[in-house]
Order: sequence, then C-alpha cells, then structure tokens
Amino acid sequence: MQIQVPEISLWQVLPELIVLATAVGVLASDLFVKSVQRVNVTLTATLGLLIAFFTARSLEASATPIFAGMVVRDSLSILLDQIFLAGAMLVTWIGHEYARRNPRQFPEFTALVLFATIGMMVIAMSADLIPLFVGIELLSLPLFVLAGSDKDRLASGEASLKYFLLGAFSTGFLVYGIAFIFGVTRTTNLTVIGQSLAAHAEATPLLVLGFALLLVGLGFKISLAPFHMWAPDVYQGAPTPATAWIATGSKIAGFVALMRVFTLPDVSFAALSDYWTPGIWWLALITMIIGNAGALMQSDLKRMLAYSSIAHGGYLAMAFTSGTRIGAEATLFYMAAYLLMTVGAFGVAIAASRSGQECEKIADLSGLARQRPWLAFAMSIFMLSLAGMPGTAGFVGKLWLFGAAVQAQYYSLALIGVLTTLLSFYYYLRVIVYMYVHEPDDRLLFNRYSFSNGLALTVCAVGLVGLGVFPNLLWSTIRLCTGAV
Amino acid sequence: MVGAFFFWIFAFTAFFAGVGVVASRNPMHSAISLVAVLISIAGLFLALHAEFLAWILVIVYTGAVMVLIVFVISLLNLDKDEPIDYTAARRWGMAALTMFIAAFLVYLYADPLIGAGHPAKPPVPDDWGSVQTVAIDLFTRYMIVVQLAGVLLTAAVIGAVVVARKPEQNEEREPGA
Amino acid sequence: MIGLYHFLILSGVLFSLGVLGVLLRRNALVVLMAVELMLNAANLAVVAFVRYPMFGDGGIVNAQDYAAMTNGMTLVFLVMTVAAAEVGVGLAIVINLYRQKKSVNIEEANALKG
Repeated sequence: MQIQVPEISLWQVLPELIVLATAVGVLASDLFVKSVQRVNVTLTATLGLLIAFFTARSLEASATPIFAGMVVRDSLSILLDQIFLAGAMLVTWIGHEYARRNPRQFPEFTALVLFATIGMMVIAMSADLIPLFVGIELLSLPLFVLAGSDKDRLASGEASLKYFLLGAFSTGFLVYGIAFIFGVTRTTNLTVIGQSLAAHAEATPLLVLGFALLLVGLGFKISLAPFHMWAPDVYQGAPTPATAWIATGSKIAGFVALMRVFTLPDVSFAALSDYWTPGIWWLALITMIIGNAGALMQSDLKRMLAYSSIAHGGYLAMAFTSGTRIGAEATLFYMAAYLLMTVGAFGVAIAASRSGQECEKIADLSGLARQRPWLAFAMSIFMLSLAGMPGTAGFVGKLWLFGAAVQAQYYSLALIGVLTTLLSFYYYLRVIVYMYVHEPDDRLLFNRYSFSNGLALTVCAVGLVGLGVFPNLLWSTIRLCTGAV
Repeated sequence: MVGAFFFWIFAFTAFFAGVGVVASRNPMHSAISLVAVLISIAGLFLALHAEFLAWILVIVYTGAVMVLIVFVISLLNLDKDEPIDYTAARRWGMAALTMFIAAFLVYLYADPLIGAGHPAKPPVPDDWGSVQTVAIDLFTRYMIVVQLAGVLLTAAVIGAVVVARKPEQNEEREPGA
Repeated sequence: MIGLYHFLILSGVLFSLGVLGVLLRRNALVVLMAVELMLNAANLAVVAFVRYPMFGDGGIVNAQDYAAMTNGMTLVFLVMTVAAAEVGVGLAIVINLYRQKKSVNIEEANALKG
C-alpha cells in the first residue's frame, strides 16, 4: 500500500500555531507558577497575539489551497486573521480589568479567549466544509464556557446553558446541511464544488435544502432573526468581556463562514446565488427591524447592546445579500468598524462600575461625564459610531453597506435600513444623554479603571475616528483582498 | 433480501427508540433509548459497508459518551419521572413546524422513491470503508483537520474543567487581587 | 429493494424527532440527548450518500469514489469527535447550573428576563 503524504506547510498556519502556543503557555504558567500575576498573563497573551499579528501580516497570500485543499491562505484570510487577532487583544485587555473585580480563573479565561480566536482564524482560512465546521465548533465551545465562567452570578450559569443548548441545536442543522451538500456534490471541498458549479450550475431540491439548513445553522451563530432569541439573555448573563467576544468575534466569524460558503466566486456556491439570496434577503429585513425595535425598549445596557448587535448583523447581511464585490468590501470594512465600536462599548460597561456594583442599567451611567470625562467621551464616540454619525467609521461603513444594497437594486431593503438607522439614533443618544445630562442617582464614585482597559478604549476610539476620517487606511487593504475577484 | 431484512429491523428499532428518547418521562429511559438508537445506526452503518464508523460509533458513543451521560444522570439523582407538559401552545406551534419540516423531507424523497427509483449501488471491494482505507486518508489528506480536532478536544477539556470546578477552590489563588 | 431514499427518510425522521425533543422537553439532559439524535441522523445521511453515489454511473468503483468515501467518513468521524467534545462541555455546564439551582429544568432558568 502506497501512502502519499501531502505537503505540510506549517509556516502558512504559523499565526494559528503561535496563538495555540500562547494559549497553552498561559495555562501552563498557571500550573507551574504558584500565584500567577494577572498582569503577566495579560502581557504574555498580548505578546503572543502581537507576534501572531505581525506573522500574519508578513505571510504571502496565495489563492492555491494548501494541506490537500483543506485550507487556503488568500489575502482575505490574512486580513481576517489580523482583525481577529486585534479583537482578541482588545478583549484580553478589557478582560484584565474585569478580572480585577472577579479574580478567578483568569489564566483559563485568557486561554479560552485564545482558543476561540484560533477557531475564528480557522474559519477564515477554510477551503472545505470540514475545517469550517471544526472551526465553528472550536469557536463555540470556549465561548459556551466563557459565558458561564462567572460562578457568583446565577445569570452567568443560565446564560451558558442557554447558549450551549441553542448552539448545539444549531450545530445539528449545520451538520445536516453539510450532509445534503455532500450528498449532492460528493465532496465537501468548496473549491471543487465552486468549480463544478461554475461549469454547470444546477440546483437540485436536496442542494437547496442543504443551503437552507446551513443558513439556519449559521443564522443561529450570528443571531439573525428569527434565530436571535438567545442573544439578549446570553449577552446579559455572560461576564462582560465574554459578551464582548461573543458579540464581535463570533458574529464576524459567522459572517466569514457565510462568505466562504456562499459568496466567493468560483470557490463557493456563488453560482447558485439565485437560490440562497432570497433567504438571506428576508433574514436581513427581519433582523434589522427586530434588532432595532427590541433595542428601543431596553433599560439594561448589555441587553440594549445585544439588540443593537442583532441589528448590525442585519445591516451586514443586507450588504452580504448583494453578492457583489462592493458588498463584500463593505461587509469587511463594517466588520472591522463593528469590532472596534462593540468591544469599546462593552469595555466602557466594564470600566464604568461603582465599588462593588457592576454597570448594568443604562441609568447606571448617569453622571459618568462629570467623574470620568474620558470614559464618557469614548462611550459617546462608540455610540455615535454605532448609530452612524458622520466622522466615525460607523458612518463610512454604513454608507458603503447601503450603497452596496442600492447598487444591487435592493431598494426596499436599503430603505428599511436607513429608517431603522434613524430610529437607532434614539437609543444610542439616550446613553449619551444619561452620561452627560443626568445627575448620578447616588453619591457612589466610579471605580478607577485600569491602564489596560484605558488602552483598549483609546485604541477603539482612535481607530473609529481614524477610519471615519481616513477610511482608505483599511479600504485599500480590503480592495487588495477582493481585487482578485 | 437479507440486507432488506436487516434494514427494516434496525430502522424500526431506531425509530421507536428515537421516540423513546423524546417521549420518556424518565431521563434514564431516554438515555437507554438513545443507546438503542446508536446501536441501530451502527448496524445500518455496517449494512452500508462503513465498518470503521460502525465500530467507532459503538466504542466512542455508546461506550464513552452515553456512559458519561448516564453517569451524570445518576450523579445528579435525576433518575425519576418528571411530568412532560405537552400543552403549551407555543411549543405546539414549534412542533407543527417540525412536522412541516418532516413532511417536506418526505415530499422531497417520495417522488424518486416511487418514480425514478434509487441511485445505483455499485458493488464495493472489501477494503471499502475499512479502518485502513479511512485511516490512510485521515492522516494524509485530512491531517490538518485531525490536528484541529485535537485542539478542539483540548479546548473542550479545559472548558469543562473551568465550568465544572467548584468556585471555592480558586479563592486561595489570586492573592494579589 | 432498499435504496438511498429509505436511509434518507429514516435519517429525516430521526432528525425531526431530535428537533421535536429539543423543542418539547425542558430537561437540559434530555435536550442534549435530542441534539445527539440530530447529529447521528445527519451522520446516517452522510454514510448513506457515500454508499449510493447520486450522480455516479453506478458501475465500477474508481479512485474518485474512494476519495468521496473517505471524505464523507472523515466528515462523520469529525462530527462524532465534535459531538463528544460538546457532550463533555455540555454536561459540565449542566452540573454547574445544577450546583446553583438544584434543577436541570430549562424553564426554571429565569434569572434573566425575557
């Protein structure tokens, strides 16, 4: 029996390996060192992520799949790696702050954030449904655990159970969808599928059923309505840094998975776009309406951000539906902007605690501007960017998202998007009003926030304004990614 | 005909045991029913010449995973009947949705089942689906996913420990906090 | 004559039973088992698809069929791995919640509003 070993190009997956080594290193340090200082954990993780970030930057992009066609190191995956690594760094920094008041299991917390990051990076470079599926699970399992890592609060355990059961449920749909796609195409390799579909696009009922099930499975992961029911509860119950990573990393990775499966020309199901576009069109429409309508009525800050995150998923899906190059570019740009503003908003939620009291209600932010002006200012930037105020990355991103929808002649979708965006100003501005206008309802002072959290918030705020004023900084890189299209 | 006989035996066992998983009042009965489903599916795998997967299914699932579940049921003392509330209208709405999905599936298959007939079933050589054939590709072409599965299992083990560990145990660590 | 669609219907029925179990049952462990039922239904479909090539000429088994066979079996193998990992984490989460609430009923998990 002759066994052919395919070429093993480990340096191509070096960023993932570095993150893995960092995760294991952080855990091992906990094992061997008697009492690990939190700051050392954060520093190690930051260092590892920075090295991985620059390794990813230095990788040579190539559209040829490696590891026997399992993964591909194209410029898209390299760009997304950098986005995920930067996001993981920000989450580690705001998690450092959170761990000061909840001082338990910090090395494990960081390691699990890193493991989830590896999952996201694997999704970003998948050229086959099998690594895509394993990546999604590698992303989900640590997040289930992170959601339940705060043992003091019952809500955390419940959030974890809810997230887990719905996550496992959605995995069932995902696997069944993959099963049908495999059955019809006789392969799980997206490159092979894409090429044969480009040659003769034929949608059998089984294939369409496979799409639909896959869409349901991924819809749960990115909380598109009507599969969004878990999101508000989980976001509210999970520890805030975990929420930040669930809201950003997991959602972005879900969209990346959709992109890998559905829109990339010739290496996905793009040739059958007539069949899956209507599905995502409706999901985007419902998601925008439900997300924004739900956010209007919330008094809880994290719940409000959860509905806002659902709404932003709808905006992303809207551009995604167009299936055009500008749509893909707008989606990528908005992903980066969304990451910065959402992590920033949750970072403020962590920083704006009073002694022994988490910031839970929006009213808890009352008087923040007087005591912590910089915090309030940063939060204002995040809120304005989420709402889409000109001068912030949120505005530029939304402009392109709507532009992509209009270009694809989805006028009704774009109209709903604009209307719901106008509506969203109400609940975002309400936060600013509380911070600047309302007096604090008690005399308790806000805690001092740590250096790492301040750094994370500064990076987010500066990044948002920077990308808002000079969008070309990122736009040119994104154009390179989709340039091959 | 022998193949058809085995199919119907295993299919009916799987179906009724599947109903048992969903409808048993006692979680332990659900677990035992699931074991029966899994063994039936392993039998069907054998009928489909997927030897390797059949044994993996019996060893990993029935042997390890299900034992774990049964263990937890006993540990948490859940081995008793619980009422199932079939009345909530919301749930019936969802159940109707499920039935709709099932009907759609049957509709999809019914046509080829009655009409055009089945896809061909080519006779396969002995090494089809054997441990060796699968293993060779598993560790060459699919090497990277096997590695990834290793990372996944590591993450799962760490995660399980983090969640299940009693909170008191880490109070002593973190002195600087 | 038993063919592909017999297996697919069985798989579809088992999958629907799993969905039904997730929606109807409130015991977290039973829901977990129903999810396992769904995953195994999907596995059954994959293995059936491997045995009955939908678009093959159905004549002789060639190298391409072998490639498709190992592809499908690797998929099933990894689904099992993932399911095992999921059960591990899921049981830990259930135990964690049981320790706090002395119950594994999802309906009683209502510390969160909504």
